[in-house]
Amino acid sequence: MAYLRLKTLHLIPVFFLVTFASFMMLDLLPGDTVDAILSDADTGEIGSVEAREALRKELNLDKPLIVRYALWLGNMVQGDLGRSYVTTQPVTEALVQRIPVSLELMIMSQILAIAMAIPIGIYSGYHGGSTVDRGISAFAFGVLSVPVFVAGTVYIWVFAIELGWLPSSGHTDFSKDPWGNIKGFILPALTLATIEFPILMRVLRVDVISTLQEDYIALAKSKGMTTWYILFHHALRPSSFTFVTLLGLQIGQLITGTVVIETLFSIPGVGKLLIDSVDTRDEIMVQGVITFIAIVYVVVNLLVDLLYAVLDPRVARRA
Amino acid sequence: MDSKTSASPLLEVVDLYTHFDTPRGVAHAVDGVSFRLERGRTLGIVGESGSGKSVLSRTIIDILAKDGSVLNQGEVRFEGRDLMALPEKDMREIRGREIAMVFQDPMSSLNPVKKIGKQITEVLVKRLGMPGAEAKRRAVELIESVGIPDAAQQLDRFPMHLSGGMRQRVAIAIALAGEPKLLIADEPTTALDVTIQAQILDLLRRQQVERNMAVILITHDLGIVAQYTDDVVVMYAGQIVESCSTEELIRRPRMPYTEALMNSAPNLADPPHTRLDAIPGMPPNLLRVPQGCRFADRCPYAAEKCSTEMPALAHDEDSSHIYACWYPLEVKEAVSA
Ligand SMILES: Nc1ncnc2c1ncn2[C@@H]1O[C@H](COP(=O)(O)OP(=O)(O)OP(=O)(O)O)[C@@H](O)[C@H]1O
Ligand code: SF4
Ligand SMILES: [Mg+2]
Repeated sequence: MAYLRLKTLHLIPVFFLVTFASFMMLDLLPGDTVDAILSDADTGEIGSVEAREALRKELNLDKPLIVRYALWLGNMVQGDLGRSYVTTQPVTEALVQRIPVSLELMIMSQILAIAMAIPIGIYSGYHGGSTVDRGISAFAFGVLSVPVFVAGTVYIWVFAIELGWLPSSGHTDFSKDPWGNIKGFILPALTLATIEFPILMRVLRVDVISTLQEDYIALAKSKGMTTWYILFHHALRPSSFTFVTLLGLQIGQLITGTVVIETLFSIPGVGKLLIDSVDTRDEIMVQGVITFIAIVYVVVNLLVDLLYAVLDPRVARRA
Repeated sequence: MDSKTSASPLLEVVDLYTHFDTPRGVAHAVDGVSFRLERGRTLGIVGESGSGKSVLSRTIIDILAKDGSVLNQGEVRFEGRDLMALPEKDMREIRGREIAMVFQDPMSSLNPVKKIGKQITEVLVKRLGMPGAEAKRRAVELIESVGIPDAAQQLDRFPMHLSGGMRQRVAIAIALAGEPKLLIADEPTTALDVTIQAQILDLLRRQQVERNMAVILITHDLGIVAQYTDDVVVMYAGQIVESCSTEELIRRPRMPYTEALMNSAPNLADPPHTRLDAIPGMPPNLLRVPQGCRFADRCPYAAEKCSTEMPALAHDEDSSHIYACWYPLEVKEAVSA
């Protein structure tokens, strides 16, 4: 597990870099946070000089960037990400409310993407070079070039507007209406899965093709195992390293996609929180969400590495 | 006494062709091969690298790709049934149960991500219909019978935990699990050290005698042929060029290629892995096989006829020793090993 420790060490600077960079960028944005908080949209008043100074002090905005980052970091490690400038809700509380929503969306989309990619990838690999395989590849390339919001819009149009099977937006609490909750997630999850599965399928296909050349597949055949059994019990696992790596690498893309999808389908997840907070210039909230996303990214990367060891005992030994 | 001397042999291969349709042309990997093998006997197949030994064995057990790139013709009669005409479903019943296989490189022929126990028990469970617990017990017996210590502990180990020799023993245990009537061992010891080689071959022979199993032993090494086989087939460029009892072949080779193989046979004094590369020249390109004798380019006895007409397999009177050569070697006295 020395390898894993090294990897963790590697990811720590990544985390600091991301949080500091976002801190700096938010600071560089035009406009004044104090204005954003104190100004009244109706009257145009921007508050008294004393009130502005007091707020500036309270928010530590009078201190240099690096000091503010250090202060924020100090609070962060104690689990305090500050309070929203706009709603005064603690950032952590807002995150806790929204994490389950985003998580459900991501998990559903990943399950759908994997459920589409594995059978199609294996089929395509097994029939490598055939007309069907080439057809599938062409289709996958087509899908790959579709932007996520276009895919989402098409699904909304077909399944929500034309067929009326599923809601086009909104979110229902699972505890109140479980089926309604799942129904609301189907289209957004399907949209995310659609843009993700073609690459997954393609890498699996390539690895299945090379695995099927292996002697141990010939041995499995010579034992009289069925094709189905050989593909799923002998070929799938050794063919899934790139697949799993890609699942991990795509987490970044998945997060971006989630932000877009939550906005498109009005789903109150972490992504929508981020976009809404940017709209209202709620800097501390934006910073908190970005930090959270960075942590998720780092943890998922480590989990993917652990998964290698489960998939291939040889990795476990090397590690 | 049984008057039916021509009762069907265990395996009879009749005029078998396996060609590969490649982008660069058709490769004549197996080109009209015929031989027979009786129950309980050992047939050696010997020939240089690329002569089609592996393709032949994979054709017999029918595990080559089924994507249209493999062109087959001929008969593989197993206990009188033509395997080439069997539907895949029935052929699957043959594999593992009637005919099993051991491959050349035990480093790559065992699934690296599957426990050894599972790789044995899946034959027992899937093919023999044994319940799981019984299959485990049987797997332990099998592992014991191929001479691996601490059999019970081995079930949960992965191939990477074992040495090459031990892995090949596992591969043999897997092959024996279905109690096949025929075992095809495709260069089972080429990848192993000489000391281990003898152990593995002795193990195979012991199992063969115990189970009255027929064995096809594929090898580069005429020394192994001499020691472990009853009959022998010499292959060159996809064809059989000589075939007879092992004793006869060693004593009286008739085909110049066989002689060349004998002269290049590794000495026991040679370090392990010394390859049979001592015959000058290269075997013909299987995409463009010559119309005459395929060995003509390299044959010290070649005459004009050799490169224009292909010699057919023929035998002398009163002999089952067959060979394909226009100018067979004179019968001479034993070649010392
Ligand atoms: N799938 C395939 N497509 C095209 N050609 C092939 C294929 N498989 C084997 N061949 C060719 O068939 C010929 C015979 O190969 P084969 O593996 O049977 O030789 P071999 O006698 O087993 O050699 P070795 O002693 O090295 O194992 C080789 O020239 C090889 O390149
Ligand atoms: S037929 Fe001619 S070339 Fe071929 S082996 Fe005999 S002598 Fe040599
Ligand atoms: Mg071979």
